[in-house]
Amino acid sequence: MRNFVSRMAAEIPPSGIRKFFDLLLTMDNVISLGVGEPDFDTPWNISQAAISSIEKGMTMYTSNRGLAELRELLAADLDHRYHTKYCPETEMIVTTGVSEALDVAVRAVVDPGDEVLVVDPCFVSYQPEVLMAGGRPKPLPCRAQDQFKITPEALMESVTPKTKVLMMNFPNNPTGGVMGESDLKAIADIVVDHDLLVLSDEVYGELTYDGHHVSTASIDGLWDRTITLNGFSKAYAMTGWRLGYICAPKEIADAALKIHQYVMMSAPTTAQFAAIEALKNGEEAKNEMVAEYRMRRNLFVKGLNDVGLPCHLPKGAFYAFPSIEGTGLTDEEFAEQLLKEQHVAVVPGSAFGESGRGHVRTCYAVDRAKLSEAVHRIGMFVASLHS
Amino acid sequence: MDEKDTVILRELQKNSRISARDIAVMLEVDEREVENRIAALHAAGILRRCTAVIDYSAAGVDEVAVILSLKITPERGLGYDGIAAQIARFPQVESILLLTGTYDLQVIIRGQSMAEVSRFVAEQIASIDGVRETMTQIVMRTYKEQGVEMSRPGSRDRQLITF
Repeated sequence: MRNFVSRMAAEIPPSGIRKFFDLLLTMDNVISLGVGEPDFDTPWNISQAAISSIEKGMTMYTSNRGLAELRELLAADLDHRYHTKYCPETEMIVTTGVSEALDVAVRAVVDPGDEVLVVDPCFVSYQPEVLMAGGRPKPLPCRAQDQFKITPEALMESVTPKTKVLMMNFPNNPTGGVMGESDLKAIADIVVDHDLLVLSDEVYGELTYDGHHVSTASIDGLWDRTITLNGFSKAYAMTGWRLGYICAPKEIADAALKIHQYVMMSAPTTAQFAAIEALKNGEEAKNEMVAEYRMRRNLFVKGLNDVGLPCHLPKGAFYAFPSIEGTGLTDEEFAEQLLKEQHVAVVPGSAFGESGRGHVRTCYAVDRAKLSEAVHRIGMFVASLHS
Repeated sequence: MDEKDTVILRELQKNSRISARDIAVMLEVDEREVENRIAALHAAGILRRCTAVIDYSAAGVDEVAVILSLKITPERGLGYDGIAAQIARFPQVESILLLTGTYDLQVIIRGQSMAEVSRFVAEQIASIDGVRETMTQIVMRTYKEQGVEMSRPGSRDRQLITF
Protein backbone atom coordinates (compact mmCIF):
# COMPACT_ATOMS: atom_id res chain seq x y z
CA MET A 1 0.00 0.00 0.00
CA ARG A 2 1.14 3.53 -0.72
CA ASN A 3 1.86 5.98 2.04
CA PHE A 4 -1.24 8.11 1.87
CA VAL A 5 -0.07 10.87 4.19
CA SER A 6 0.69 14.08 2.33
CA ARG A 7 4.20 15.42 2.33
CA MET A 8 2.97 18.61 3.94
CA ALA A 9 1.29 16.77 6.82
CA ALA A 10 4.28 14.50 7.23
CA GLU A 11 6.72 17.38 7.35
CA ILE A 12 4.84 19.66 9.66
CA PRO A 13 6.57 19.45 13.05
CA PRO A 14 4.46 18.06 15.90
CA SER A 15 3.85 20.30 18.89
CA GLY A 16 6.99 20.10 21.00
CA ILE A 17 5.97 18.64 24.31
CA ARG A 18 4.16 15.36 23.62
CA LYS A 19 6.47 13.38 25.91
CA PHE A 20 5.94 15.85 28.72
CA PHE A 21 2.19 15.72 28.22
CA ASP A 22 2.17 11.91 28.43
CA LEU A 23 4.07 12.06 31.70
CA LEU A 24 1.55 14.56 33.04
CA LEU A 25 -1.34 12.20 32.41
CA THR A 26 0.18 9.55 34.66
CA MET A 27 0.37 11.82 37.71
CA ASP A 28 -1.99 12.77 40.53
CA ASN A 29 -2.39 15.92 42.54
CA VAL A 30 -0.95 18.07 39.80
CA ILE A 31 -1.40 21.84 39.88
CA SER A 32 -1.40 22.80 36.26
CA LEU A 33 -0.13 26.21 35.27
CA GLY A 34 0.06 24.82 31.76
CA VAL A 35 -3.31 25.93 30.52
CA GLY A 36 -4.04 28.71 28.08
CA GLU A 37 -7.57 29.61 29.04
CA PRO A 38 -9.56 31.43 31.73
CA ASP A 39 -10.63 29.41 34.77
CA PHE A 40 -13.92 31.30 34.99
CA ASP A 41 -17.19 29.94 33.70
CA THR A 42 -18.70 31.87 30.81
CA PRO A 43 -20.86 34.56 32.49
CA TRP A 44 -24.28 33.01 32.94
CA ASN A 45 -26.25 35.65 31.04
CA ILE A 46 -24.13 34.84 27.97
CA SER A 47 -24.74 31.09 28.26
CA GLN A 48 -28.43 31.78 28.87
CA ALA A 49 -28.71 33.82 25.67
CA ALA A 50 -27.28 30.89 23.73
CA ILE A 51 -29.66 28.41 25.38
CA SER A 52 -32.57 30.66 24.66
CA SER A 53 -31.58 30.96 20.98
CA ILE A 54 -31.60 27.16 20.75
CA GLU A 55 -35.01 27.01 22.41
CA LYS A 56 -36.32 29.42 19.77
CA GLY A 57 -34.98 27.16 17.06
CA MET A 58 -32.36 29.59 15.85
CA THR A 59 -29.95 26.87 14.84
CA MET A 60 -29.59 27.46 11.10
CA TYR A 61 -26.46 28.59 9.24
CA THR A 62 -25.84 32.28 9.40
CA SER A 63 -24.56 34.49 6.60
CA ASN A 64 -20.97 33.52 5.71
CA ARG A 65 -19.80 36.72 7.31
CA GLY A 66 -21.73 36.04 10.52
CA LEU A 67 -24.92 37.50 12.00
CA ALA A 68 -25.40 41.11 10.91
CA GLU A 69 -26.35 42.20 14.42
CA LEU A 70 -23.15 40.71 15.81
CA ARG A 71 -20.98 42.46 13.22
CA GLU A 72 -22.69 45.78 13.84
CA LEU A 73 -22.15 45.46 17.59
CA LEU A 74 -18.54 44.46 17.00
CA ALA A 75 -17.86 47.40 14.72
CA ALA A 76 -19.25 49.80 17.33
CA ASP A 77 -17.32 48.05 20.11
CA LEU A 78 -13.99 48.20 18.25
CA ASP A 79 -14.52 51.84 17.39
CA HIS A 80 -15.37 52.68 20.99
CA ARG A 81 -12.59 50.62 22.55
CA TYR A 82 -9.70 50.94 20.11
CA HIS A 83 -10.76 53.73 17.75
CA THR A 84 -10.51 51.42 14.76
CA LYS A 85 -13.22 51.71 12.12
CA TYR A 86 -14.33 48.67 10.17
CA CYS A 87 -17.39 48.39 7.98
CA PRO A 88 -19.53 45.55 9.36
CA GLU A 89 -20.80 44.65 5.89
CA THR A 90 -17.53 44.49 3.99
CA GLU A 91 -14.57 44.43 6.35
CA MET A 92 -15.48 41.91 8.99
CA ILE A 93 -15.86 38.11 9.08
CA VAL A 94 -16.94 36.11 12.13
CA THR A 95 -14.89 32.91 12.39
CA THR A 96 -14.72 29.66 14.31
CA GLY A 97 -12.30 30.87 16.95
CA VAL A 98 -9.24 32.97 16.29
CA SER A 99 -7.62 29.72 15.13
CA GLU A 100 -9.74 29.70 11.99
CA ALA A 101 -9.24 33.44 11.59
CA LEU A 102 -5.49 32.86 11.64
CA ASP A 103 -5.65 30.10 9.04
CA VAL A 104 -7.93 32.05 6.72
CA ALA A 105 -5.94 35.26 7.05
CA VAL A 106 -2.61 33.55 6.36
CA ARG A 107 -3.97 31.74 3.32
CA ALA A 108 -5.55 34.95 2.04
CA VAL A 109 -2.21 36.76 1.84
CA VAL A 110 0.68 34.29 1.73
CA ASP A 111 1.95 32.92 -1.59
CA PRO A 112 4.34 29.97 -1.78
CA GLY A 113 7.82 31.21 -1.03
CA ASP A 114 6.71 34.40 0.72
CA GLU A 115 8.68 35.17 3.83
CA VAL A 116 6.64 35.79 6.96
CA LEU A 117 8.24 37.30 10.04
CA VAL A 118 6.75 35.61 13.07
CA VAL A 119 7.17 37.13 16.47
CA ASP A 120 9.20 34.76 18.67
CA PRO A 121 8.22 33.45 21.18
CA CYS A 122 4.65 33.02 19.99
CA PHE A 123 1.57 30.85 20.01
CA VAL A 124 2.46 27.40 18.67
CA SER A 125 0.22 27.57 15.58
CA TYR A 126 1.83 30.52 13.84
CA GLN A 127 4.74 28.82 12.12
CA PRO A 128 2.75 25.73 11.06
CA GLU A 129 0.02 27.97 9.63
CA VAL A 130 2.59 29.74 7.47
CA LEU A 131 4.14 26.42 6.41
CA MET A 132 0.75 24.97 5.48
CA ALA A 133 0.18 27.98 3.22
CA GLY A 134 3.55 27.33 1.55
CA GLY A 135 5.16 30.38 3.11
CA ARG A 136 8.52 30.60 4.83
CA PRO A 137 8.25 31.54 8.51
CA LYS A 138 11.17 33.45 9.95
CA PRO A 139 11.39 34.14 13.67
CA LEU A 140 11.56 37.74 14.87
CA PRO A 141 13.23 37.53 18.28
CA CYS A 142 11.75 39.38 21.25
CA ARG A 143 13.88 39.40 24.35
CA ALA A 144 13.35 39.60 28.08
CA GLN A 145 15.46 42.77 28.40
CA ASP A 146 13.02 44.50 26.01
CA GLN A 147 9.99 43.26 28.00
CA PHE A 148 9.44 40.92 25.03
CA LYS A 149 8.44 43.76 22.70
CA ILE A 150 9.36 44.06 19.03
CA THR A 151 12.11 46.65 18.84
CA PRO A 152 12.80 48.62 15.64
CA GLU A 153 16.37 47.26 15.73
CA ALA A 154 15.27 43.63 15.83
CA LEU A 155 12.75 44.25 13.06
CA MET A 156 15.35 45.98 10.86
CA GLU A 157 17.73 43.11 11.39
CA SER A 158 15.19 40.45 10.40
CA VAL A 159 13.35 42.08 7.52
CA THR A 160 14.54 41.22 3.97
CA PRO A 161 13.32 42.18 0.51
CA LYS A 162 11.37 38.89 0.45
CA THR A 163 9.44 39.66 3.63
CA LYS A 164 5.73 40.15 2.97
CA VAL A 165 3.99 39.75 6.31
CA LEU A 166 4.72 40.53 9.95
CA MET A 167 2.75 38.20 12.19
CA MET A 168 2.41 39.29 15.77
CA ASN A 169 0.41 38.81 18.92
CA PHE A 170 0.26 41.42 21.68
CA PRO A 171 -0.51 41.10 24.54
CA ASN A 172 1.62 38.07 23.90
CA ASN A 173 1.16 34.42 24.60
CA PRO A 174 3.48 33.16 26.18
CA THR A 175 5.31 36.23 27.53
CA GLY A 176 2.54 38.64 28.59
CA GLY A 177 4.47 41.38 26.77
CA VAL A 178 2.51 44.26 25.24
CA MET A 179 3.19 46.83 22.53
CA GLY A 180 2.06 50.28 23.64
CA GLU A 181 1.33 53.17 21.32
CA SER A 182 4.94 54.40 21.20
CA ASP A 183 6.23 50.85 20.61
CA LEU A 184 3.90 50.42 17.65
CA LYS A 185 4.73 53.86 16.25
CA ALA A 186 8.41 52.99 16.47
CA ILE A 187 7.98 50.05 14.08
CA ALA A 188 5.30 51.61 11.84
CA ASP A 189 7.78 53.36 9.55
CA ILE A 190 9.73 50.18 8.97
CA VAL A 191 6.51 48.34 8.16
CA VAL A 192 5.55 51.04 5.65
CA ASP A 193 9.06 51.42 4.16
CA HIS A 194 9.28 47.69 3.49
CA ASP A 195 5.69 47.53 2.27
CA LEU A 196 4.70 44.86 4.80
CA LEU A 197 1.32 43.62 5.87
CA VAL A 198 0.77 43.18 9.63
CA LEU A 199 -1.23 40.23 10.87
CA SER A 200 -2.11 41.34 14.37
CA ASP A 201 -3.64 38.77 16.72
CA GLU A 202 -5.14 40.82 19.56
CA VAL A 203 -7.15 38.13 21.31
CA TYR A 204 -5.65 39.14 24.68
CA GLY A 205 -6.28 42.84 24.05
CA GLU A 206 -8.93 43.20 26.73
CA LEU A 207 -6.57 41.62 29.25
CA THR A 208 -4.27 44.62 29.46
CA TYR A 209 -3.49 45.69 33.01
CA ASP A 210 -1.48 48.85 33.02
CA GLY A 211 -3.01 51.32 30.62
CA HIS A 212 -5.17 50.36 27.65
CA HIS A 213 -4.66 48.06 24.73
CA VAL A 214 -3.62 49.82 21.54
CA SER A 215 -4.79 48.17 18.36
CA THR A 216 -2.22 48.02 15.55
CA ALA A 217 -4.73 49.27 12.98
CA SER A 218 -5.24 52.46 15.00
CA ILE A 219 -1.68 53.63 14.33
CA ASP A 220 -1.27 56.21 11.56
CA GLY A 221 -0.42 54.57 8.25
CA LEU A 222 -1.13 51.01 9.40
CA TRP A 223 -4.90 50.56 9.01
CA ASP A 224 -4.79 49.65 5.33
CA ARG A 225 -1.92 47.24 5.81
CA THR A 226 -3.21 45.43 8.90
CA ILE A 227 -5.39 42.38 9.39
CA THR A 228 -6.79 42.42 12.91
CA LEU A 229 -7.68 39.09 14.51
CA ASN A 230 -9.64 38.94 17.72
CA GLY A 231 -12.20 36.81 19.51
CA PHE A 232 -14.32 36.13 22.54
CA SER A 233 -12.34 33.31 24.16
CA LYS A 234 -10.13 35.16 26.57
CA ALA A 235 -12.02 38.35 27.42
CA TYR A 236 -15.36 36.64 28.10
CA ALA A 237 -14.12 33.21 29.21
CA MET A 238 -15.60 31.58 26.11
CA THR A 239 -12.80 29.31 24.83
CA GLY A 240 -15.06 26.33 24.12
CA TRP A 241 -17.55 28.38 22.14
CA ARG A 242 -15.01 28.81 19.33
CA LEU A 243 -15.74 32.34 18.20
CA GLY A 244 -13.35 34.85 16.68
CA TYR A 245 -13.30 37.43 13.91
CA ILE A 246 -11.18 38.98 11.20
CA CYS A 247 -11.17 42.68 10.40
CA ALA A 248 -9.36 43.82 7.28
CA PRO A 249 -9.59 46.28 4.41
CA LYS A 250 -12.20 45.19 1.85
CA GLU A 251 -9.89 43.60 -0.75
CA ILE A 252 -8.26 41.38 1.83
CA ALA A 253 -11.56 40.66 3.60
CA ASP A 254 -13.07 39.59 0.26
CA ALA A 255 -10.21 37.15 -0.30
CA ALA A 256 -10.49 35.83 3.26
CA LEU A 257 -14.26 35.45 2.88
CA LYS A 258 -13.82 33.12 -0.10
CA ILE A 259 -11.60 30.82 1.93
CA HIS A 260 -13.84 31.04 4.99
CA GLN A 261 -16.96 30.16 3.03
CA TYR A 262 -15.33 27.10 1.47
CA VAL A 263 -13.74 25.74 4.63
CA MET A 264 -16.21 26.75 7.32
CA MET A 265 -19.38 28.15 5.72
CA SER A 266 -20.21 30.07 8.86
CA ALA A 267 -19.14 30.26 12.47
CA PRO A 268 -21.22 28.34 15.04
CA THR A 269 -24.63 29.99 15.22
CA THR A 270 -25.26 29.37 18.91
CA ALA A 271 -21.93 30.90 19.78
CA GLN A 272 -22.79 33.96 17.71
CA PHE A 273 -25.92 34.53 19.77
CA ALA A 274 -23.84 34.16 22.91
CA ALA A 275 -21.40 36.73 21.54
CA ILE A 276 -24.20 39.22 20.91
CA GLU A 277 -25.12 38.99 24.59
CA ALA A 278 -21.45 39.31 25.55
CA LEU A 279 -21.17 42.58 23.65
CA LYS A 280 -24.47 43.92 24.94
CA ASN A 281 -24.27 42.90 28.59
CA GLY A 282 -20.88 41.36 29.24
CA GLU A 283 -18.85 44.41 30.14
CA GLU A 284 -19.22 44.18 33.90
CA ALA A 285 -18.36 40.49 34.12
CA LYS A 286 -15.38 41.06 31.86
CA ASN A 287 -14.10 43.93 33.98
CA GLU A 288 -14.41 41.81 37.11
CA MET A 289 -12.40 39.01 35.57
CA VAL A 290 -9.74 41.44 34.37
CA ALA A 291 -9.47 42.95 37.86
CA GLU A 292 -9.09 39.47 39.32
CA TYR A 293 -6.38 38.50 36.81
CA ARG A 294 -4.50 41.64 37.61
CA MET A 295 -4.51 40.92 41.35
CA ARG A 296 -3.43 37.34 40.75
CA ARG A 297 -0.68 38.55 38.46
CA ASN A 298 0.69 40.82 41.17
CA LEU A 299 0.67 38.03 43.75
CA PHE A 300 2.05 35.39 41.45
CA VAL A 301 4.84 37.42 39.86
CA LYS A 302 6.00 38.62 43.26
CA GLY A 303 5.90 35.00 44.44
CA LEU A 304 8.06 33.85 41.52
CA ASN A 305 10.61 36.60 42.08
CA ASP A 306 10.65 35.85 45.84
CA VAL A 307 11.47 32.17 45.29
CA GLY A 308 14.32 33.08 42.96
CA LEU A 309 12.85 32.94 39.45
CA PRO A 310 13.36 36.40 37.92
CA CYS A 311 10.21 37.47 36.12
CA HIS A 312 9.30 40.74 34.42
CA LEU A 313 5.86 42.11 35.27
CA PRO A 314 3.71 41.05 32.32
CA LYS A 315 1.37 43.85 31.28
CA GLY A 316 -1.18 41.71 29.51
CA ALA A 317 -2.66 38.24 28.90
CA PHE A 318 -2.60 35.82 31.85
CA TYR A 319 0.89 34.41 31.61
CA ALA A 320 4.08 34.99 33.53
CA PHE A 321 7.27 34.00 31.76
CA PRO A 322 10.02 33.69 34.36
CA SER A 323 13.64 32.99 33.49
CA ILE A 324 14.89 29.69 34.88
CA GLU A 325 18.46 30.12 33.66
CA GLY A 326 19.76 30.69 37.18
CA THR A 327 18.80 27.13 38.11
CA GLY A 328 21.36 25.67 35.72
CA LEU A 329 18.68 23.58 34.02
CA THR A 330 17.29 23.88 30.52
CA ASP A 331 13.64 24.88 30.31
CA GLU A 332 12.67 21.32 29.32
CA GLU A 333 14.61 19.83 32.24
CA PHE A 334 13.12 22.37 34.60
CA ALA A 335 9.56 21.62 33.51
CA GLU A 336 10.04 17.87 33.64
CA GLN A 337 11.76 17.80 37.03
CA LEU A 338 9.32 20.29 38.55
CA LEU A 339 6.47 18.07 37.42
CA LYS A 340 8.08 14.88 38.74
CA GLU A 341 9.21 16.31 42.05
CA GLN A 342 6.56 18.86 42.99
CA HIS A 343 3.66 18.00 40.68
CA VAL A 344 3.42 21.44 39.16
CA ALA A 345 2.96 21.64 35.39
CA VAL A 346 4.47 24.52 33.43
CA VAL A 347 5.29 24.72 29.73
CA PRO A 348 8.94 24.96 28.59
CA GLY A 349 9.48 28.32 26.89
CA SER A 350 11.24 26.74 23.92
CA ALA A 351 7.90 25.18 22.89
CA PHE A 352 7.01 28.74 21.79
CA GLY A 353 10.18 29.40 19.82
CA GLU A 354 13.93 29.79 20.17
CA SER A 355 13.63 33.09 22.07
CA GLY A 356 11.58 31.34 24.73
CA ARG A 357 14.48 29.11 25.67
CA GLY A 358 15.56 29.53 29.29
CA HIS A 359 12.03 30.49 30.36
CA VAL A 360 8.85 28.66 31.29
CA ARG A 361 5.30 29.72 30.63
CA THR A 362 3.11 29.78 33.69
CA CYS A 363 -0.57 30.63 33.46
CA TYR A 364 -2.08 32.46 36.42
CA ALA A 365 -5.69 31.94 35.32
CA VAL A 366 -5.87 29.48 38.20
CA ASP A 367 -7.66 30.02 41.49
CA ARG A 368 -5.68 31.84 44.13
CA ALA A 369 -5.35 28.98 46.60
CA LYS A 370 -3.82 26.76 43.92
CA LEU A 371 -1.67 29.60 42.69
CA SER A 372 -0.15 30.19 46.09
CA GLU A 373 0.36 26.45 46.62
CA ALA A 374 2.08 26.34 43.21
CA VAL A 375 4.44 29.16 44.22
CA HIS A 376 5.24 27.28 47.41
CA ARG A 377 6.03 24.09 45.51
CA ILE A 378 8.11 25.90 42.87
CA GLY A 379 10.03 27.51 45.74
CA MET A 380 10.77 24.12 47.29
CA PHE A 381 11.91 22.82 43.94
CA VAL A 382 14.21 25.77 43.25
CA ALA A 383 15.66 25.55 46.78
CA SER A 384 16.34 21.82 46.31
CA LEU A 385 18.46 22.62 43.24
CA HIS A 386 20.75 24.89 45.23
CA SER A 387 21.33 22.50 48.12
CA MET B 1 -14.77 54.72 51.23
CA ASP B 2 -12.91 54.69 47.94
CA GLU B 3 -12.28 52.09 45.27
CA LYS B 4 -9.47 50.42 47.20
CA ASP B 5 -11.69 50.05 50.29
CA THR B 6 -14.35 48.45 48.11
CA VAL B 7 -11.84 45.92 46.79
CA ILE B 8 -10.59 45.18 50.33
CA LEU B 9 -14.15 44.55 51.53
CA ARG B 10 -14.91 42.29 48.61
CA GLU B 11 -11.71 40.34 49.16
CA LEU B 12 -12.49 39.86 52.86
CA GLN B 13 -16.01 38.81 51.99
CA LYS B 14 -14.66 36.17 49.64
CA ASN B 15 -11.91 35.00 51.98
CA SER B 16 -11.82 36.42 55.48
CA ARG B 17 -8.42 34.83 56.11
CA ILE B 18 -6.61 36.67 53.35
CA SER B 19 -3.54 38.44 54.70
CA ALA B 20 -2.99 42.19 54.58
CA ARG B 21 0.29 41.40 52.86
CA ASP B 22 -1.41 39.63 49.97
CA ILE B 23 -3.99 42.36 49.59
CA ALA B 24 -1.14 44.89 49.51
CA VAL B 25 0.61 43.07 46.66
CA MET B 26 -2.64 42.67 44.77
CA LEU B 27 -3.54 46.34 45.09
CA GLU B 28 0.01 47.60 44.52
CA VAL B 29 0.10 49.49 47.85
CA ASP B 30 2.08 48.85 51.04
CA GLU B 31 0.98 46.50 53.78
CA ARG B 32 0.68 49.24 56.36
CA GLU B 33 -1.86 51.07 54.24
CA VAL B 34 -4.02 47.95 53.97
CA GLU B 35 -3.89 47.42 57.75
CA ASN B 36 -4.89 51.03 58.33
CA ARG B 37 -7.74 50.81 55.88
CA ILE B 38 -9.08 47.62 57.48
CA ALA B 39 -8.86 49.19 60.93
CA ALA B 40 -10.72 52.27 59.68
CA LEU B 41 -13.44 50.14 58.08
CA HIS B 42 -13.86 48.33 61.42
CA ALA B 43 -13.96 51.57 63.37
CA ALA B 44 -16.57 53.04 61.05
CA GLY B 45 -18.79 50.01 61.58
CA ILE B 46 -18.65 49.17 57.88
CA LEU B 47 -16.66 45.97 58.31
CA ARG B 48 -18.65 44.18 61.00
CA ARG B 49 -17.25 40.71 61.21
CA CYS B 50 -15.04 38.37 59.16
CA THR B 51 -16.58 34.95 59.15
CA ALA B 52 -16.72 31.54 57.44
CA VAL B 53 -19.18 29.82 55.13
CA ILE B 54 -19.72 26.25 56.32
CA ASP B 55 -21.47 23.38 54.63
CA TYR B 56 -22.43 21.31 57.68
CA SER B 57 -24.10 18.70 55.55
CA ALA B 58 -20.74 17.97 53.91
CA ALA B 59 -19.37 17.25 57.41
CA GLY B 60 -22.26 14.89 58.07
CA VAL B 61 -23.54 17.10 60.85
CA ASP B 62 -27.32 17.14 61.14
CA GLU B 63 -28.24 20.72 61.65
CA VAL B 64 -31.67 22.20 61.28
CA ALA B 65 -32.45 25.57 59.83
CA VAL B 66 -35.91 27.02 59.64
CA ILE B 67 -37.28 30.14 58.09
CA LEU B 68 -39.88 31.70 60.30
CA SER B 69 -42.26 34.23 58.82
CA LEU B 70 -44.04 36.49 61.30
CA LYS B 71 -46.99 38.86 61.17
CA ILE B 72 -46.44 41.62 63.67
CA THR B 73 -48.66 44.28 65.16
CA PRO B 74 -46.44 47.36 65.12
CA GLU B 75 -45.93 49.08 68.49
CA ARG B 76 -46.78 52.71 68.94
CA GLY B 77 -43.67 54.84 68.49
CA LEU B 78 -41.44 51.86 67.73
CA GLY B 79 -43.01 50.23 64.70
CA TYR B 80 -41.32 46.86 64.16
CA ASP B 81 -38.02 47.81 65.79
CA GLY B 82 -38.81 46.81 69.36
CA ILE B 83 -39.95 43.30 68.52
CA ALA B 84 -37.12 42.81 66.02
CA ALA B 85 -34.64 43.85 68.71
CA GLN B 86 -36.14 41.37 71.19
CA ILE B 87 -35.88 38.52 68.68
CA ALA B 88 -32.36 39.54 67.75
CA ARG B 89 -31.17 38.82 71.30
CA PHE B 90 -31.53 35.07 70.87
CA PRO B 91 -28.28 33.41 69.73
CA GLN B 92 -30.30 30.82 67.78
CA VAL B 93 -31.48 33.59 65.48
CA GLU B 94 -29.17 34.00 62.53
CA SER B 95 -30.89 36.76 60.63
CA ILE B 96 -33.96 38.99 60.78
CA LEU B 97 -35.31 40.85 57.80
CA LEU B 98 -38.25 43.25 57.53
CA LEU B 99 -40.20 42.54 54.37
CA THR B 100 -43.02 43.87 52.25
CA GLY B 101 -45.93 41.53 51.55
CA THR B 102 -48.02 39.10 53.57
CA TYR B 103 -45.53 38.61 56.39
CA ASP B 104 -43.58 41.35 58.11
CA LEU B 105 -40.46 39.69 59.47
CA GLN B 106 -38.42 36.82 58.13
CA VAL B 107 -36.30 35.13 60.79
CA ILE B 108 -33.74 32.42 60.11
CA ILE B 109 -33.12 30.11 63.04
CA ARG B 110 -30.56 27.32 63.42
CA GLY B 111 -30.54 24.51 65.92
CA GLN B 112 -29.28 20.99 66.56
CA SER B 113 -32.62 19.24 66.11
CA MET B 114 -36.15 19.83 64.95
CA ALA B 115 -37.40 19.36 68.52
CA GLU B 116 -35.08 22.05 69.78
CA VAL B 117 -36.09 24.53 67.08
CA SER B 118 -39.84 23.79 67.53
CA ARG B 119 -39.60 24.37 71.25
CA PHE B 120 -37.71 27.60 70.68
CA VAL B 121 -40.26 28.94 68.20
CA ALA B 122 -43.25 27.98 70.32
CA GLU B 123 -41.87 29.12 73.66
CA GLN B 124 -39.76 32.11 72.78
CA ILE B 125 -41.03 33.64 69.56
CA ALA B 126 -44.73 32.89 69.19
CA SER B 127 -45.33 34.10 72.73
CA ILE B 128 -43.95 37.58 72.15
CA ASP B 129 -46.64 40.26 72.44
CA GLY B 130 -47.38 41.66 69.02
CA VAL B 131 -46.60 38.45 67.11
CA ARG B 132 -49.96 37.67 65.55
CA GLU B 133 -49.14 34.78 63.27
CA THR B 134 -46.19 32.52 62.46
CA MET B 135 -45.35 30.32 59.51
CA THR B 136 -42.43 27.93 59.90
CA GLN B 137 -40.62 26.44 56.92
CA ILE B 138 -37.83 23.90 57.20
CA VAL B 139 -34.77 24.37 55.02
CA MET B 140 -34.29 21.16 53.07
CA ARG B 141 -31.11 22.00 51.25
CA THR B 142 -28.81 24.99 50.80
CA TYR B 143 -27.75 25.59 47.21
CA LYS B 144 -25.94 28.86 47.58
CA GLU B 145 -24.91 30.87 50.58
CA GLN B 146 -23.01 34.15 50.74
CA GLY B 147 -22.03 33.76 47.12
CA VAL B 148 -20.78 30.17 47.52
CA GLU B 149 -22.47 27.48 45.47
CA MET B 150 -22.72 24.55 47.87
CA SER B 151 -23.97 21.91 45.50
CA ARG B 152 -21.38 22.36 42.79
CA PRO B 153 -18.13 20.46 42.76
CA GLY B 154 -15.09 22.64 43.28
CA SER B 155 -13.19 21.77 40.16
CA ARG B 156 -14.18 21.07 36.61
CA ASP B 157 -12.75 18.99 33.86
CA ARG B 158 -10.12 21.06 32.23
CA GLN B 159 -7.28 20.19 29.90
CA LEU B 160 -3.99 20.15 31.79
CA ILE B 161 -1.99 21.70 28.98
CA THR B 162 -3.37 23.95 26.28
CA PHE B 163 -1.50 26.51 24.25
